[in-house]
Amino acid sequence: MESVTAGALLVVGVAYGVGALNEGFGSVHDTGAGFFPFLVAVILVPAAAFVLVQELRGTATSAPADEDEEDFQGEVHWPRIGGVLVASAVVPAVGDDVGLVTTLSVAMIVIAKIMGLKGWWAPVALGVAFGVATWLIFVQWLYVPLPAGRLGLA
Amino acid sequence: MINDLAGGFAAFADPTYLLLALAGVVLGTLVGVLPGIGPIGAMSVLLGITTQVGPTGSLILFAGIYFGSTYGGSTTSILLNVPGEASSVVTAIDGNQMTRRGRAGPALTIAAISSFVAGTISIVGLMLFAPTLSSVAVKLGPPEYMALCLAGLVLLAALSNGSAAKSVVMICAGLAVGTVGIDPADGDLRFTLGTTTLAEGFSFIALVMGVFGIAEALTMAGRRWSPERVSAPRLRELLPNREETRQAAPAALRGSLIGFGLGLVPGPAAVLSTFASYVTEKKLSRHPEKFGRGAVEGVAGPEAANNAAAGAAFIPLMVLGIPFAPTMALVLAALLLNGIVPGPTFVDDQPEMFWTVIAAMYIGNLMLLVLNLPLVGLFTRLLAVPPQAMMPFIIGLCVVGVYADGNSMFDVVVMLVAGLLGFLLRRSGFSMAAFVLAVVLQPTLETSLRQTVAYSDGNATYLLGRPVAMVIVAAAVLTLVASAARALRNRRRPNVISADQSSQPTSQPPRQ
Repeated sequence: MESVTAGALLVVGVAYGVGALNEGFGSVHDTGAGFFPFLVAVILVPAAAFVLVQELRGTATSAPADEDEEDFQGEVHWPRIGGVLVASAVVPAVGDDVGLVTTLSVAMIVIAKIMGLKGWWAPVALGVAFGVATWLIFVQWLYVPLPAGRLGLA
Repeated sequence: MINDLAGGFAAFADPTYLLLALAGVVLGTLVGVLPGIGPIGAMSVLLGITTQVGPTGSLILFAGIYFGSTYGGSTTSILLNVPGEASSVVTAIDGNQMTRRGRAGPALTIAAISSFVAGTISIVGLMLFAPTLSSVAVKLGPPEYMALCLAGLVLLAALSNGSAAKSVVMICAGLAVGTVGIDPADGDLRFTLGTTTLAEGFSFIALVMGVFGIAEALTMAGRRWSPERVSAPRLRELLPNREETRQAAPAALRGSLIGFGLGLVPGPAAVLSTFASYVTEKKLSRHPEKFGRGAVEGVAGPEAANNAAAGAAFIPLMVLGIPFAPTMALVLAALLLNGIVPGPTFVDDQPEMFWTVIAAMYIGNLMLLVLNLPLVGLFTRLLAVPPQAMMPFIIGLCVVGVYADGNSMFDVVVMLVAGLLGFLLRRSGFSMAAFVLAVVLQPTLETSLRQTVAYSDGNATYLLGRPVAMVIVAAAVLTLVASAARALRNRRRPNVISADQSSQPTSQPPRQ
């Protein structure tokens, strides 16, 4: 997994470097739009290559970043993560047509069920409460124009 | 100054500000107590409402969260040996040993009072130094800003716990993402893939909420979980005895000074300052053998240090407009979203905002002390909230926040994609804090670099004539060398702190 991540970053770095050259390097007096991106790519590509080599050799440090501690280590339940992402993606997919608050409330109920919240009362209460709170705070109090959709439900 | 401060307190008396300060410190304490979501995650989730609460309100809210998280992080460290925050890892060493010896109450009180003292000292420092340093900062030019940005990024990579190479990769990735959109010099579009949607670049809020809010929610999705059983001390058990107070007071003062000093320089100051304070206390102690077995100084020093560093971190942000820490990058983002650009003239241009925020920090710090000790039992009971209930809530807040900021479903898609990528990258040990800091610093770094290149007229020795820039670069290089030497030394022998500890804070958060 780590090797794939490092390899993908390397490929992105190379593509970014090529893109930077296409943007134009400019001159000392008038640096082009690609000047700074190219310098970034010059550091990004070897750094990503170094990490990739370390991962392939198995010498890369497995320590998580400072802000993460061990939170992101260990086993992952991929189907659950996929389900959560798909349920979340429904919001931008149909939120404009159905209404953001309504879609989001339903998505939250689905996410809570995917996560394993038992029964139906708790997920439904969570979704409805969040929807009502969102409508009160964002629409009524802060006057944020959330899409109401064709049903006009916000 | 006294009049300004009085004006700040008068402005802060606005009920909205009081409510935001209270919300900030309570929320900060909660995210500090709960492993999994930290102050960066909480701030990123709330970025979407910063335009609604205004720049002063945003500063008050975010300052409350930042201070509160450093308070809250110590609670689980002391009671459970589970640091809620990276900056509370050191506190767990002796704090939890005190709990095992039946001194949990005094340990919590010492941590809270040390934090309060350090917080107050750092706010006084902020009040005194920010206006003075502003007059100096006005004289800085593009080479100095370039050097400061570089030093901030390089030191974050070098001094963080994880892989430095991975941090460098994420810094570059952040800088690269920041370049999408309008070229700041010529106004041309670049890396927009021919679409106008990306003309203004990626939404910073969408990126931050994705890599922190959504990614942290996803971590909870795949975990088995069991509630933590915590026995919090009662009110009458909180008071430390005279001996403990006598040992804690000087350690807290030293920790405050160490934290304040380190908070002013680039790098992960809050974490580093706790280690620096711990090592200092151990070296100064007549009984170094007590460290790791419940030394009071091992709690007071580091707790004071991380709080002082948190307060001091506001100085470079307000004076230079450059955040030296990821949390400050989010504070900067909140200000920018409100059309406020901090920098050398910030204190002069926005005196009411500056002094109101100073007043809010004083009151917020006091709120933390008054609220936290009596409510420690309530806060620790939150560890029993299942992630199944918390995760949908976080995702919902992120979606509404991102949409409310830009009225764009595209931003919501960007957030979800950033969340997935952030989750995968963080699982591989890549630092998203470095990424976010780089995205924020990119415009300043690129502009100052290109101006410096233009001013140099092709003369490679141009920078030698800029002593301040050279000093900053030299300091960064020296720190890098020292960091590399330390890393080499640590490969040969165990870590200076961990070597002789009988008990280490567990690295496993409770949500397993």
